[in-house]
Amino acid sequence: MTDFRIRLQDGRGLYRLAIATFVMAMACAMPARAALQIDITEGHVDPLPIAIVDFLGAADQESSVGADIAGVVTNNLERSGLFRPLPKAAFIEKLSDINVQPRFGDWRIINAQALVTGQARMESDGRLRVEFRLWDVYAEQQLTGLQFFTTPDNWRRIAHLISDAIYKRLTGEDGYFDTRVVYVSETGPKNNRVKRLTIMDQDGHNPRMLTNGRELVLTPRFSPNSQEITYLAYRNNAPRVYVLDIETGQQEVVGEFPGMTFAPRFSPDGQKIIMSLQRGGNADIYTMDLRSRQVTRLTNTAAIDTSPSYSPDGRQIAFESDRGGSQQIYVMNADGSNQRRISFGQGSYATPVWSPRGDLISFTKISGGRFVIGVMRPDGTGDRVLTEGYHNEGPTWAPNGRVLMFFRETRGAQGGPSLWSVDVTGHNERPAPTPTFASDPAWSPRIQ
Amino acid sequence: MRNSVLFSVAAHSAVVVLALVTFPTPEELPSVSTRALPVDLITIDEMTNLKRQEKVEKPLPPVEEPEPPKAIERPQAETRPTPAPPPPPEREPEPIPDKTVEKKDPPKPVEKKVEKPAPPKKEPERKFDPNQIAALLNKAPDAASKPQPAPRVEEAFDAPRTDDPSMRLTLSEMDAFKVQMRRCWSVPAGAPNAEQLVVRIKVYLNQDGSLARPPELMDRTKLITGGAYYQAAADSAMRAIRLCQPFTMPADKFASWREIDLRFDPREMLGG
Repeated sequence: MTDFRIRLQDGRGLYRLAIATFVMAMACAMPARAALQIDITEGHVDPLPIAIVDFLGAADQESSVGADIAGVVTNNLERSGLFRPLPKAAFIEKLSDINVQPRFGDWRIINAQALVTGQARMESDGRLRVEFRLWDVYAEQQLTGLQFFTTPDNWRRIAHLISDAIYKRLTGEDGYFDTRVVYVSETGPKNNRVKRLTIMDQDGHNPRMLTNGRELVLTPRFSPNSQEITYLAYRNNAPRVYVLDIETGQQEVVGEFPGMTFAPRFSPDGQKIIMSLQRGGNADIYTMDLRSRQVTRLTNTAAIDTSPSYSPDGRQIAFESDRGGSQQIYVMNADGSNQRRISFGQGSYATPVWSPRGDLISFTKISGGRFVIGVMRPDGTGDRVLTEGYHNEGPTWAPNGRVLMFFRETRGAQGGPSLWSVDVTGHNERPAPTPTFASDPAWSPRIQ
Repeated sequence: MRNSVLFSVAAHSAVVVLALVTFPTPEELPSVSTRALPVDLITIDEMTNLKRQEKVEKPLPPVEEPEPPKAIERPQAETRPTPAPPPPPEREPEPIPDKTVEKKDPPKPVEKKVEKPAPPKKEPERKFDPNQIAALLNKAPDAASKPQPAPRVEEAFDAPRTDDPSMRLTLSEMDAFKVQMRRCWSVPAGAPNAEQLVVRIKVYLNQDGSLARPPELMDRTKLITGGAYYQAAADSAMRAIRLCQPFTMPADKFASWREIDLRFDPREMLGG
């Protein structure tokens, strides 16, 4: 009896060992099955609630500048459409020191997901020191923090730089707030408009005339990596291509070409200008080296090829051509080879502009009497409409490839063009305020 | 000859009869094996239970479920051992000597799985009395082994409960969870290469649906390789989880959603 029991026990021992081994094997082999897996594929695109506190300052001047900076940052983030700054009246915590961690509970109550605090101080050498911190209210940690030194009258630019830093940390994209826009301001009656090149901050502040209005100016375009613009000006009915340094005001005639000239634009390295020249009744695309002034012909067809735009890597060029019977967008290599059509939608496509990010080409499409601003991928897929209306034209990209500006013309004798911006998702379309009628915007690269 | 023929016929008929008699048992076995299948599934769940039990001691009662099925299988063949099998899994090192004494108790635990929250503590005491000599010899190892190994083994057996298919979240319950997340997750719209912005986060929840501990970002190396876009995407997903909690979940299936691997995939939203 005893023997039998012992054997049984041995058997049970083996049995348990087998179970234990099995359990161990399962533990090692299938750890992934331990937890429930759920795919989240839907969210919302509502703007992120953010609280921006007036920057602190000891003296009146400091707190005044601090409040102004917070106001500019608030305005920038709100206009981007990605953020919803919360009203200051809702704030519960009154901050007195930005180096102390905020009471995050107070900010969660008002549904703030991010919090911006900062302070402005006048240094003994007369410079203004501005510092800020960006907090994640739910993770209860600082996301970024920077400080700047500048002259007091340069506070607005500091506010734009702070906006850029916040935007980049929360969206992953480079900001576009420390940029400027050049456009053609239009004054006078509709049949006799005076057109001047004008430059302003991207938020509409600091407008400044660049030309005197005696010439007809067209199609200003920024160099992708410097504060230079190229544009077309007609003097005595002869078109000339100019390059203007907007920092120094220095202006240079790049070339005076027989026949009509259209749509000059810089190459990504800023060393060449690409444009279309009309010779013998048909327009083709040419490049001109700014140093050697050597002109190279890239297309050679009987059709009208115009509106060239380089890809950001400089290897390809998008342009419009009617060689197929209607205006369509084509892409070719930078040396003119491998020309191929990429747009196949209804209507006629014009003025392709390659995104600085490289992933999209924006265009103007005329279809059924409506003007559409849209984007497509460089291979022609993903063609979608961002905005449409009576007359939309001239898309230009913000340097982060996220926002487009264009001009929209209204009907009637009193109608005129004005600037608008729209997000690349098609959301957040809103006007860009200008003191006069405005057309043909060109967005600058980030100011270095 | 006749004798040999008769003997042969008798022998053959005996073999046939034996075969007929024995065949039914093999047929029953397969049915037993099918019962054993759920036992395997239970072992898989042990993993999740182990982690859960580290925090809460309640899991003990369910632990015994997995073992009973196996124990029952043996008893059918041998009749006696039925009581013995259940105890061994619970206390691997020493239970063997005690089992003999426990034979009366084990049958109850098998049927009343839920009612045994605290039995482990009481059982050791009982074992000492009946076995006297043999038990005394074994006691030394028991004391040493009890503290660490015993509880873990029990936890593993608790897992079987979660394996119950009825404990899994239904599709509509999953959808309800997704709807909650949809309200909280601000998608990083407009970013390029959406396929590289898939963020995986492990979430540990309490029974009331709140976070038991901070959510864990799973592909952390992507924070370096993925650049600012990935970091912003990861932040938005983490923010969504913190913002959304406590989640409304079916309380009776806590075992199945105690740990959740969330995969935030913005591709559909970005049309990518």
